[in-house]
Amino acid sequence: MAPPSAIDVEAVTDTTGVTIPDPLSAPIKSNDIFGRRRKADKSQWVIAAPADTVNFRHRSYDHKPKAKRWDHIITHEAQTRKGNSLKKAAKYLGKPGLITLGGGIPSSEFFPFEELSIKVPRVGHFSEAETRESGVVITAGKHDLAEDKSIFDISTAFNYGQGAGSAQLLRYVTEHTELVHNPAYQDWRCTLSIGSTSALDMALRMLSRPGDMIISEEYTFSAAVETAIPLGVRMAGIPMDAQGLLPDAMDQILSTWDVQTKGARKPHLLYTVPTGQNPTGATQSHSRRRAIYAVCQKHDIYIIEDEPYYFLQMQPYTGPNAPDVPPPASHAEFLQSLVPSYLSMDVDGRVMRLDSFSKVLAPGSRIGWVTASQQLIEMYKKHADVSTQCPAGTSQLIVWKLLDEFWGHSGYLDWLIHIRLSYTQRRDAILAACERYLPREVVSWQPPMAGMFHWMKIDFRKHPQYPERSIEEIEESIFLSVIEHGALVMRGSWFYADAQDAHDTLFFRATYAAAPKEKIDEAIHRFSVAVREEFSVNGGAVRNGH
Amino acid sequence: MTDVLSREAATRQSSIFQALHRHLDANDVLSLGPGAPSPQYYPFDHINVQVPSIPSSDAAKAVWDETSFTINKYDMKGGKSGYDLSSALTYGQGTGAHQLVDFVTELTKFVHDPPYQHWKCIMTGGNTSALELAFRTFTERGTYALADEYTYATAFECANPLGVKMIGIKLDEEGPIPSDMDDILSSWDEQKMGSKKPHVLYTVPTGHNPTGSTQSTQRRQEIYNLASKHDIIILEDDPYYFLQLAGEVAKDASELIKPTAMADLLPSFLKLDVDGRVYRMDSCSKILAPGLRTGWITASAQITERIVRAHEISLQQPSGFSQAFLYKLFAEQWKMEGLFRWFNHLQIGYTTRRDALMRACEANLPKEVASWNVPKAGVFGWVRINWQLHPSAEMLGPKDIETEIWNATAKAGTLIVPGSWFQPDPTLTLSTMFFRINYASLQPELMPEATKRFGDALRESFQLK
Repeated sequence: MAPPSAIDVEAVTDTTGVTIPDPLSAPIKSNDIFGRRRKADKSQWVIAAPADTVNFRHRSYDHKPKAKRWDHIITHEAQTRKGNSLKKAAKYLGKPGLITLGGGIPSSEFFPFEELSIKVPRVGHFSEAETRESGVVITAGKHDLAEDKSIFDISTAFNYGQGAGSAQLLRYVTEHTELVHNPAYQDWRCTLSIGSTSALDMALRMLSRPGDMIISEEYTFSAAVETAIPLGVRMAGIPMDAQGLLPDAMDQILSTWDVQTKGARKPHLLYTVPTGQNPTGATQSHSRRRAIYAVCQKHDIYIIEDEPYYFLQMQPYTGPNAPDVPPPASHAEFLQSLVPSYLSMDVDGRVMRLDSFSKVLAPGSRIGWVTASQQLIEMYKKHADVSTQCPAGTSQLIVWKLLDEFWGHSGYLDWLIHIRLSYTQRRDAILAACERYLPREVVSWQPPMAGMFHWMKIDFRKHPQYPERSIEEIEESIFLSVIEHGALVMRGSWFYADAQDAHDTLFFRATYAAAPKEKIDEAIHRFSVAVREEFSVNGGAVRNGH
Repeated sequence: MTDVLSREAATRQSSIFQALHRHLDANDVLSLGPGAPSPQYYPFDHINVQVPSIPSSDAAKAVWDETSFTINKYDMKGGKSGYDLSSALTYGQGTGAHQLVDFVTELTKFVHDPPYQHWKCIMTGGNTSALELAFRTFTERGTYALADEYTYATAFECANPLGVKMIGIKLDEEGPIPSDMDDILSSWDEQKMGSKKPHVLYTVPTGHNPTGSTQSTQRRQEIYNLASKHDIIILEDDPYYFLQLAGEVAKDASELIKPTAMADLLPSFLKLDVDGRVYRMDSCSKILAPGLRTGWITASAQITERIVRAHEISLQQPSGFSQAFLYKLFAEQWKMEGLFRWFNHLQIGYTTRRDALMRACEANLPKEVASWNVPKAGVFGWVRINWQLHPSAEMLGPKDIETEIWNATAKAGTLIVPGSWFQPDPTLTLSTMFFRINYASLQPELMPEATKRFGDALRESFQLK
């Protein structure tokens, strides 16, 4: 591939100044990235080679502010953690002529894996059927690096690595992060994770102590609550509307925080899923995020931005009777259509962004990555070195071969557009079924614009047994009735940030991610039958057959 | 045993999704419940992996032939295989794939035959992960754990930030000395130490890192008896268990090496575990590849249940790609018998390497100041330096002499690892000095040169002829 020319010079007149575009601040195009890469010495790609992701960035950040320091919230555990001494010694291995009796790194002659090949879709032919018919087999050998066939091979990937992950995949995710988010501060770094569930656990150990409360959406990701509880951390729920967190409510709760009544010091951590939130499907708009960020600045809140559904942002919903919105015509248009992340507006370095391949490639890859200020990423890496270690080399090699060596950033964006359109179809299918079957007198909803969840509000006040029975009892009754009719949806109460809080809403969560469209339709139908029955007993709100 | 659980471990809850399983398993329920993406979006049609094929005869073969296996997306449909990509690459359970759990359970029963009833195996993300979870499950901030006076550095680098300090048991050529362990526990002063006596022992009984020692059967039984006496949980970190090597060093590289029969392997702590107090960590790292990031633990069902809860809110489970490869290799290609042949193959390979290093040490290290034992397992050699013979011994002391030797060896072009890096308590000045060397990484042809450089550095440092 020919490198792009460094300078475009336009002569106007010989008395007019000429502006030479600075390559470091010019916008990056997805198919430019390969040509912009710094030439790396082969030593960057060897077994357990340490990598500083600052070297993988293409733009200049000198004009951007440095991140704030977070010593006042970093835990004692994270402060005292030293690096893994044996991994540090890996840096000596670069010395020429050195032969080592040092680290116990096994020879790959004993790895019983000589070669692996994977059949993957070619760019633009991404469906499952097309993958089978016209997919390409990409291959990784044991010694491709030594033999100059590739910069990542089995003998490297399948050996020990640094906790941060392989330099090869780190370069890719750093470039991707820069392309998509263009972080607003100077000293941001990336590290790989073994998935966002683990990354959240690591973040809480770094930033919270037993007895703390952290703020989150009032309906939040149940696993996040379950992760926090054993660490002695409880969640305080912030009211939401259809766009997620409400900034004024958040400001009010923080401004009037009473340590005595709450039994915890004022929260300094926000856990949020801003795009296609689990469970509500809500997506915070750009202006909503700016407002929340301002409240966080006011109260010095550190933000954990958990974004597994960022690339499940869908085409705008036009309803069953209007034409579809045409898909993005270019990569630039696609990236423009995405809601800006907290990372992209993070002038303080107060955001830790958790990205994951689980929903865009496969949950079983067990790979994600974390973007935050250098101070926190260094601590994350040290912890990974003595706990999770890096993601499996099997996963890293396969994902890297596909995303970097085969598709490249350009092909990966095309894949992400494919995912966008696929999820759009699924969402449209479940909404069409809801419009067809659900009794509007008692069920209402907002069309989700991202993610995999549909959040249906039930007007429990119209239930024949309200108020004698509580909201939770009514919810359980509906849930079991739905099962009896042969469908399964999730109870909203399972997602309370704080189960002790008073709640006056009743929701059910349904996913449109997994089942085939006919089954989604049938499941919504069964759900609707169950709801009608529940509400029509003893002259209730809904007449049969409506 | 619930009183040994940390506050964190005792509070781990079942995820809400656990409750769903009985509904999901019902036949005609259409699920719009758990949000896992459809496998139709996994961009992998199949994976083909080239692996060694098991030789047809028992005769040791240096180089194995190749064969390969293929994992398709939907092999489970229509019973083509017990596992496939659609299953391996979706969200799973905190136990790891049950297909793999079944295999390692069978392996554990065959090799260790735990002498108590309710033991279980679950998959892990490797021994580092399993060890961290063990500390989080069994210890609290401000307490102590038992280890060795020289112990695997990652173990205390993991424990210390969690507020757990390690107390080192004195070592002899086999491993921890039972009388010293008994002393430490029997004379424990709660007031002075600010904590109850340790109830956790971290041990690497086979091919110890860093000392290369292997505890004999009798030693293991003595240590176990003490663990019983003082109600200690044994964290058995045993990645080199299957790398038990031939006894004698071969005189030259052409000698035929006999591998260790499965029946002749030393008993693990798990095998002696009548009380159910052993948390055994097995790893794929040294017997297959570190990059699999997969292992398994064996412990009482009560303990493994807590670890499964921990997995659900952290690691989840090992990489689906790794699990798929392991399933095909273990359950379909090699099976148990083939895996044992593979262990034999590794034993021959590592014995060859060990012997090359031992011969090189014999030839090149000055015996006036350096001594070592032949490791019976694993990958490490542990060279004792008689530092008191250093011309400036009184003036410098062991720490400075150690640094001088390390620098001189590095300058000569060889890396060795200072023994002091493995002291769980670096404030203690031990009277011994060691360097760790290994025979896993370096090609045997370079071992004479490497040991010569080390030897020359020693000769220079000690001003020997």
